[in-house]
Amino acid sequence: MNLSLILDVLPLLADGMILTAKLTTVSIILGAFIALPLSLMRTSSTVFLFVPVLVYTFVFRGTPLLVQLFLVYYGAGQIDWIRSSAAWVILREPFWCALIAFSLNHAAYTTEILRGGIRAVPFGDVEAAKALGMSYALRTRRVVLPAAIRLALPAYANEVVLMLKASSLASTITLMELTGSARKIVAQTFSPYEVFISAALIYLGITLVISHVFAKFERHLAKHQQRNSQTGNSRLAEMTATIRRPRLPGSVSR
Amino acid sequence: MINQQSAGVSHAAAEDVQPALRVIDLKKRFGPVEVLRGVSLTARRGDVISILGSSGSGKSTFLRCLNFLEAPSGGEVWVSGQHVRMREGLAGQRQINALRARLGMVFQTFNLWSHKTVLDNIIEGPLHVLGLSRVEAIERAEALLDKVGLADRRNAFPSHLSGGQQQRIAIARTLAMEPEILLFDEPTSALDPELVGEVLKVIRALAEEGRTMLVVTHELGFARQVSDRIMFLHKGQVEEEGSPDTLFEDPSSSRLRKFLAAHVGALRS
Amino acid sequence: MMNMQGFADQIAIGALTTLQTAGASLVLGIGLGLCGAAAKRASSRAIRSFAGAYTTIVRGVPELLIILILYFGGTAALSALFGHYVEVDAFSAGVFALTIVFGAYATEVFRAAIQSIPAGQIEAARALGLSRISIWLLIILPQMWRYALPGLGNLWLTLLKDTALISVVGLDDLMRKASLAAGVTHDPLTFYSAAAFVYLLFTSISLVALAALERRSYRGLRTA
Repeated sequence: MNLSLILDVLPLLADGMILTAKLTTVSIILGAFIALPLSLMRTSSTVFLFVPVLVYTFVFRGTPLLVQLFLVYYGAGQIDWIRSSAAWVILREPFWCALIAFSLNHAAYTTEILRGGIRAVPFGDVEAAKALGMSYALRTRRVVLPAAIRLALPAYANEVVLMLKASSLASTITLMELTGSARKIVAQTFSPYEVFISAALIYLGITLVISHVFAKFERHLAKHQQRNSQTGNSRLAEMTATIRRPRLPGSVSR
Repeated sequence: MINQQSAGVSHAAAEDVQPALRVIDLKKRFGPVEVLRGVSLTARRGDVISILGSSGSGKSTFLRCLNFLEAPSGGEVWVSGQHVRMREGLAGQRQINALRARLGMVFQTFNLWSHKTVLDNIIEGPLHVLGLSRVEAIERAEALLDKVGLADRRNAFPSHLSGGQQQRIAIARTLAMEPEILLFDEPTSALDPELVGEVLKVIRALAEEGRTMLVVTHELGFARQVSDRIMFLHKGQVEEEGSPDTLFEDPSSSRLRKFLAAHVGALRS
Repeated sequence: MMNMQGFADQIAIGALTTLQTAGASLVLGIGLGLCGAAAKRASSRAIRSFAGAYTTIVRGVPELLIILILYFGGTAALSALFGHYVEVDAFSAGVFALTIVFGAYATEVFRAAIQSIPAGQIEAARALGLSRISIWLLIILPQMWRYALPGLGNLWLTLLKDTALISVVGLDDLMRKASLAAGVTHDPLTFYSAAAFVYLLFTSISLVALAALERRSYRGLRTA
């Protein structure tokens, strides 16, 4: 193995890194926008609200992201009305296909994580809001979601790391993000070890930064509410255990 | 649903003649279990009524039914001469929310929002439910913090306060809505014994201000001191009701006698 | 009903390969995870940091990249070793890569599971003079399973889906068979949907089985 080659390759991967960052960031933002309303529907007691969301999260969490990606990229063009519609301009582009598949997949996991958070909000907190005369919308916005997001933060941090790692699949549909660029350079240089390890180091670096930022943020929040956040967290652990998702880093399946 | 009882009488006039709270034959069942079997009660403005009973007597459920945290299965609730009815749909919800803002509830477990500071807990309702300006809400909150003796803790988070302090903040949060009636659901039961006194002191002060209050409690001595009337519930029914002196000195029901004996005994041991 | 255009057999064979890959990686990965968990509890600081580096690195790098590193890197390493080009077969490389990945996550699951065993029990065993190995065999392992089961179940579901990534380096699994059929028939929609359906089926069966296992494992344990 050639150590200096590892360092030499790093700058060549810069463009790929930018595309990776773009894919990850946009997917996370879109995913959050989708997941927020879906998690509220998911926790609703109305059948026609929570069942469709349940089906959605089950399908997207129960199949490999690669299949979802290929269905969007290769499959969508087969449907005539999509081909003839304006959406085809977007679905023709691998970048947009990747974004669609990633956002939908990420949103499915995030929905379930948020649901765990919402269900872990102490019932008394909600009742106190009701007793003050707060409407459903008001207490959801002011009391339930702020508390739920705090409780869901550790699991969400893992999910963000998973999204970063999942973005590597974009290389299978010709996108030259970090993994794609690395494969291209490997094909040119025949130095798989050095190039892939370079890419791995970059991923590792970004992962550590993400974990660090979230951990710091959690500590910051915990400073204010040690006792309560503890009970909340153990409740969340209970909830996540019942929905079969432990809060270990990255153990969430994709 | 809140209706003006008679169209001809003005609101203000109705309030003068009508009791603050009138409950007629309130019933509540959870599945096959009948928790309240028809409880009636009338509270005039300024009345302090303590509700006693052993666990399972339905006293907490009674209180929770009054502001529809539990939906009553039957009976009528009148607040200041307005009949409150459970209605389906958004309009019904809106009216229940309006009712709740008028009946202040203090919980056994405080239920302060852990992610908000003391001050934010108190101004939340006035700001977003009553639509007060921030300045007004903070002014109101500061006066209340003074009243419960915690002005210096306005920026603390609930988890940094003792149980007694949390309950006093919870009382301030309820008072900030300027409710017509205060409902206390075992306000000192979750507290360590040495913290009970500070909370009772605040509640006593409120009673002396002439507020209308319903208090579910196990503090018999306190109930006897502050109450105008005492209601003893047993298995979802009013077993005995009357003035504190009559009930404590000369209870006519054998169940109440047993209850008092057990609790006085417990206090002595 | 989907028209499989004569590829139903191929898809079925691919599905079997997927299960074999996942099954082999599960068994090996559990072994690796146990070693990892033991290493993280080791008294030697060097062993502890080595285990720490292993889990941190593997969990911080995309699974696809790990597969590529081990497949192409493995080929290069073996070729250098034997002095001529050696082709690593996709199944071995795939199982190897998935084992490494599964082992890292399983290490954390087992570590947390061990921590869930009341410390007093292990102290009591020490006080009785039991050896380290006896403590592992008699106290830790038998109890750890029920705490580890939900986490392991999750990892299994992840593993099932991660096998699809091995298709990228040429393993003839469900995913690759679907890709081949899609290419030949120009009907990707049908075959990727069929693949999705089979994965969903595996996931569903696993969920039912895991729920039953968990119920069994909690026999005799009082829960809050």
